[in-house]
Amino acid sequence: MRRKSVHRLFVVATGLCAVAAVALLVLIVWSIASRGWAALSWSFFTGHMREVGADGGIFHNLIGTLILLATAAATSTPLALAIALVHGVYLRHHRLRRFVGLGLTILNGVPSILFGLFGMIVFVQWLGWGKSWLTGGLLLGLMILPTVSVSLIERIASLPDRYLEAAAGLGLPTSRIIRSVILPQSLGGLLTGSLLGLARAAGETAPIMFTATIFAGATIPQGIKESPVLSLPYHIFVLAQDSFDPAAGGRLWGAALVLLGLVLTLSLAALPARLRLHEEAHDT
Amino acid sequence: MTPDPILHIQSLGVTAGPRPLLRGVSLAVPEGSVFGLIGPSGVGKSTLLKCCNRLVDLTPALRVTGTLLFRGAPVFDRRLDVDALRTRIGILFQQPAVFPCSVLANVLFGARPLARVPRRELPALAEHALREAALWHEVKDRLDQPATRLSVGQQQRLCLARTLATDPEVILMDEPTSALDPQATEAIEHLILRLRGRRTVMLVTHNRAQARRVCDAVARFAVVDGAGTVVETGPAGTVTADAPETGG
Repeated sequence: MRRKSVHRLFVVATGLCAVAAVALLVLIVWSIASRGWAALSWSFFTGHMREVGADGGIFHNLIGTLILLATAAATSTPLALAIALVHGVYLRHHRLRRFVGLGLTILNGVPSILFGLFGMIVFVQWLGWGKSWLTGGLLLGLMILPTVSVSLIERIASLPDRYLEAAAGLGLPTSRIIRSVILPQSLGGLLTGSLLGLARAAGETAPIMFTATIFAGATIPQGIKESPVLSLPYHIFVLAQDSFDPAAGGRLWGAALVLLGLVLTLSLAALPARLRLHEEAHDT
Repeated sequence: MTPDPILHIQSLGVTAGPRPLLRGVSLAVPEGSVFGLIGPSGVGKSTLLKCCNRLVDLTPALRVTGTLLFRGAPVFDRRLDVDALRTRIGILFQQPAVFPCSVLANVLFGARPLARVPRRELPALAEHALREAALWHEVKDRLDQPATRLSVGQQQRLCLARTLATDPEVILMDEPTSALDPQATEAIEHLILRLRGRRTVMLVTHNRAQARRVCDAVARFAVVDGAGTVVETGPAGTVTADAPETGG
C-alpha cells in the first residue's frame, strides 16, 4: 500500500516538473511573441536600422548573425572531425581518450565572456584585426567545438564493431575505413551537434561584443581587419540597456522574436537526426 | 614429401593483460585444405583466427607471442603491410556485417579501393564473386537495392562474395553458419566444399557433424591450465569421433 502511494507521489512530482518546464518555455515564447509580433513585417527583415533602433529593420543584424554562424560552422566542423577521428580511431589507449574528453569538458565549461576577452587580446589587439566578423566566427566556433565534437565522438563510438572489423578484414587501410565506413555513418552526429551548437552560438553576446560586432554603421564586411558586423544579440543587448525610446521597445522585442525563431529553427532542424539516432539505439 | 604449409603456427600465445587466452598453440595448415577448429566456447578459437590476419591489432589490450608464418613469412613482423596481408587472408564472421549500401557496393567494398582491375571491369568482377558465392541468381536483378534487405543467409553469402572479390588465398571463417537456418547452412557448406583445393579455409565450428562433412583436418581446442590450447590434431573423422560431444 505504502509502495503504491510513493509511486503515485513520484508520478505526480515528475509530471509537475515536466509541466513546469513546458510552461516556462511557453511563457518565454509567449512573452516575446506577444510583444514582438507587432514589429514583424517584410520591411523589418529587409530594412536598415534607423533612428538608433527606433525605426527601420534588422536586415544587417540578421545577415551579420548568419555570417558569424557560418564562420563558426566552418571553424568547428573540421576541428571537430579531426578531434573525433583522433579520439575514435587513432588513439588506442583509454587514458589518452579520457584526456581528450577531459579537455573538451573543460573547454565546454569556459565562460563565454572569457572567450570574448581571449579574442580581444589575441585577435583584436595582438594580431591587430580590430573588430572583425572573422574573430567572432572563430570564437563562436571554438565555443561550440565541445558540443560538435562530443556529438560526433558518441556517434563514432556507437558504430558497431563488426563494421570496423569487416572493413579492416577486407584489407582496407584506415584512411579508407574512415572515408567509406566511419564518416558516412556518423555525419548525422556532426550535423546534429553543429545545429545544436549553432543554436547556442546564435544567441551569445559575450564572445562577440568586444571582438566582432557593433551597434550601428556596419554592412556586409569587405575584408578581415576592422570589419565588424551588426548582430541580433548585441542589437537586443544595446536596445534593452540603453534605449529610453518606447518605439525602440517594440523593435527590441521584434528582434528578440526573430532571434528566438532562428534558434528554434536550428534546434528543430537537428531533431530528425536525433530521433533517428534514438531509434537506431533501440533497434539493436 | 609434403609441401610447406600455407599457415604455420608455432607455440603461439595470446594474453589479454594478465589473463592468458591461448598458450602453446602449434598448427600446420596445408594449402588448399579445409582446416577445422573445434572446441568449447571461450577457448580462443576466434582469437587464433584473428591472429592469422592481424585483426587482433584492433584490440590494443591483446599481446601475441610465438610465431605465425604465412607462406614462410612471419605475420607479426613490424614491417609487414597489414592491409595487404588482410587482402590475402580474408575473414567471414559469425554475424554477416553488410554495409548500409547497395548489394553491388557491398561486393566491391574491398575490391574497388584495391584498384587491381580497371573500373569498367568491376561489374564483371562482382558477378564472378557473386557466382562463386552462389548468390548471383538471387540478387542479379537487385544489385542496386540495399543489401540490408537480403535475408541473413543471403547476407552471409554476400559477405563471402565480398571477401572472394579481393581474391584471398586463405579465408578464415568464424562459425559462419551458427546464425543461419539449416538451408542457408547447407548452402554455405556447399560453398566451402567448392572452395576446397582452390583456396585454403580455416573454419571455426561448434558443429561436429559440420566439421566431419567439410573439413579435411581438425584441431580440437580445450582449456588447459587456464588457457586455450590445441589438444588433438588429425583427420576430421578420427579427431571428432573420439572427442566428448560437449568438451570443456
